[in-house]
Amino acid sequence: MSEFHAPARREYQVSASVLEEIKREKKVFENPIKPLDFDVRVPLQSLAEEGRLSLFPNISRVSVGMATCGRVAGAQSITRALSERDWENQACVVSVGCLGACYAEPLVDIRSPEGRHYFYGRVDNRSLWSIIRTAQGAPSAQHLWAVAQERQTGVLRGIHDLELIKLENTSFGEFFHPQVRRISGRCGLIDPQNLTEYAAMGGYRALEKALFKLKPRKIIDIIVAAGLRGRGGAGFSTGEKWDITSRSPDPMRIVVANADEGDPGAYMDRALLESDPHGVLEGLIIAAYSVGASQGYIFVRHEYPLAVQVLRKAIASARKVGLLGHNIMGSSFSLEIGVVESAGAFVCGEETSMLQVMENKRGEPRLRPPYPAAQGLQDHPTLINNVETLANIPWILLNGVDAFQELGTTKSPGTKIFCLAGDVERMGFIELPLGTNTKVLVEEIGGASEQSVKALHIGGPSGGIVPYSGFSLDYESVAATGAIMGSGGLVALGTNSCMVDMARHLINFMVQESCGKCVFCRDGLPELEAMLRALCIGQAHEGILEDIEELSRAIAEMALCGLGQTATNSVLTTLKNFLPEYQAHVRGKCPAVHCKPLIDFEINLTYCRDCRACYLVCPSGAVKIRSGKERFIVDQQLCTKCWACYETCPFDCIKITSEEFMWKN
Amino acid sequence: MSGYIDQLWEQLPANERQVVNILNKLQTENGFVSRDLLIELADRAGVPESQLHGLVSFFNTYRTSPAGKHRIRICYGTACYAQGASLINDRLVEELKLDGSDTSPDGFVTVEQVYCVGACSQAPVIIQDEEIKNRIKSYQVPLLLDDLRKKV
Repeated sequence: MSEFHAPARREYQVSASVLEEIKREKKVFENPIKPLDFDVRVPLQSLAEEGRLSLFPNISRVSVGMATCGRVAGAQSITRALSERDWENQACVVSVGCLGACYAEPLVDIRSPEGRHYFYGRVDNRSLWSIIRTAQGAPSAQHLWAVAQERQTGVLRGIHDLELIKLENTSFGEFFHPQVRRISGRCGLIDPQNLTEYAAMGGYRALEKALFKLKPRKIIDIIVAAGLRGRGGAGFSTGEKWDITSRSPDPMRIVVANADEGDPGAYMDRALLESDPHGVLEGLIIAAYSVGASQGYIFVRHEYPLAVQVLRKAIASARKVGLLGHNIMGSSFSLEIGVVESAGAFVCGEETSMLQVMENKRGEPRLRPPYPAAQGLQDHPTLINNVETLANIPWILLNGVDAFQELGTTKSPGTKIFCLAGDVERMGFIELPLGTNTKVLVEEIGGASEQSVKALHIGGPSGGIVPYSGFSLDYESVAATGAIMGSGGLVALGTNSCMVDMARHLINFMVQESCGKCVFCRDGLPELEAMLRALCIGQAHEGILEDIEELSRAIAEMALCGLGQTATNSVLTTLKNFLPEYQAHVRGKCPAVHCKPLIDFEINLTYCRDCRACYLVCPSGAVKIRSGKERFIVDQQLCTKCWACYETCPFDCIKITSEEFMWKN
Repeated sequence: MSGYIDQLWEQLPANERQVVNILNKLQTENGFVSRDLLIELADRAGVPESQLHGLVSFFNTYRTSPAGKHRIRICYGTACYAQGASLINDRLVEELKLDGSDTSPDGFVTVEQVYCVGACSQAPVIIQDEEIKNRIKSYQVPLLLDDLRKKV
């Protein structure tokens, strides 16, 4: 296959960027020893000392969670209010990333000079005064969520160095209790824009060890022995990938960090990049050193503007202190890292598609083999690793293979970050050992009751929707349910979610994201969506379910890339697991009372207090006021089923039905 | 406009001169990618214009025609959809009388869907111009639009 592909692609006009690469390579070759503008070794020690001063100041340190989730919840105005204040040298205000408890945003953590951390969740103007008082040294119990103490004052390498001493908000404790924060431990504690704080938490120690104590081959052996599997979805052995790239006869090698996190519902890469970008960078530099690459790229989503901004800053500051660029830390190893911003295409997370875009082409995936690890960007061997995978690397080098394998299963060792969203109490990103039961995640951490969750949507749009039950979260067990682990996004779907509409929505997403190369994916998916739409509007034909299944299987079989092959997973898994719901739709009923054309709105006057909210809010004049016993009625002819009356009624008087099925609150 | 592309080109370090990076800049700075700029870019990057059209039509972010004065993007990620993103969309379509087009007839608002901005814990979210708003209910849509109209 590779012989067939190679000549055709070599004919491609050499682009300007390649020419420059060649030029630069030559320059490096001609002038291998560049004058160093810093000491022979980067003084990690002094960076760490500087970081310790800002992490552990002798005044109060007020950290506000300012990742995207925090900003959305209103952290910016909190930060503004706190930083504009004259603290008279009693406190300093810092913007940090996300602690993982996204449901608790805006989250404020106040560290007293004695090493005590006071956490305030869901901060608003009312709790500001408590925060100010605590920062001034008079801790206020009002609005307080939790207090934790550094086990040894002035030692903080991650959240595991904190010991909970007081818990005012039990759910906050339940959220963190089962978690193991290995690679996300620094998130939300350090200022992501400040390299020295990362260094103070033991950052770049793994890189130092790699450059001066380990040979590239040895590092690859360690990663192979650790059994680390790619966290982006496929679960391919990371060490093996490195090995393939490092053995290539081509001396020009490239590393790429895949931060094109397209799975809706998964945002661990965003969280890592926004909260702890140097952890990812360190992993990428080590990867480049191990496979002998001198050029690195980070391919990141355009939808994450903050992550891009933080990342660029991180690269610039690493460069400034000699952790990137020529002769890293005074060694003979040099690396440049460039940022490429994707512009919103799900398929670009697929590695060959991503490389096409980086070569200025339409992001249509190509056949593999040749795999990018052997022949990738501009035909050079290209190592592509997911952001979370890279963040694991420094941890493994510092703590060793045995420590890494202590958690997780034999086949999938280590921890994994999951993102929990949907119909649960507590949402956020959660790090757990692989193989943890779904019940721990959804019920213990998420705080949902068993009955309230109907199904789990695992692995993004390519994943599947499976009935909620307890199963182990590792690559094999999830695959056994018919879904895929994907990048670890879990959306809990409550009893009110319609599985048919959900499948239709996901197929609609795939229709938009299909690159159009393969006929079945390009033309089959819209056809499939039309059939699912017919179900949702009650116009299904006889035998539609058989047609849907047949077409779904055909698309999966005939597609070239992972997108097409998995595009219909959501339909196939819902058909298998929720067949009665499909059958009800054929009869024109929606058991989840969700599909607009199949539902009716009524007003139950038993608890009605005549507040007229429904009448005022109805945009189409469908809610009518009449004299007599039936004071309010919904005119079914005019009703647009916008749910406005239901959402506004303070007394739950709006009854929604789909014949015998009723909406349950 | 001449020299604009050159200027963008020069701003980027050599290893970041992928056309997608430049297209992103064009989109953010102008709100859309015009044909003229595309031709200029093809010239500068040494990439056939047809290939650039291929790229522009491939990505969701790029527009080839100017957007309305304001831009409302509704997150259609799974979590937001499960929490009622489609109701917000339907209400916007109704309020703005969008008839197949994504921009209101008076050019006031453009409504688009975006797939996940990674703020799933705050679902459903919308991005109004550059500001993300959380936990939106469909009945708030008219109020949102009123606020927008008051903004000059």
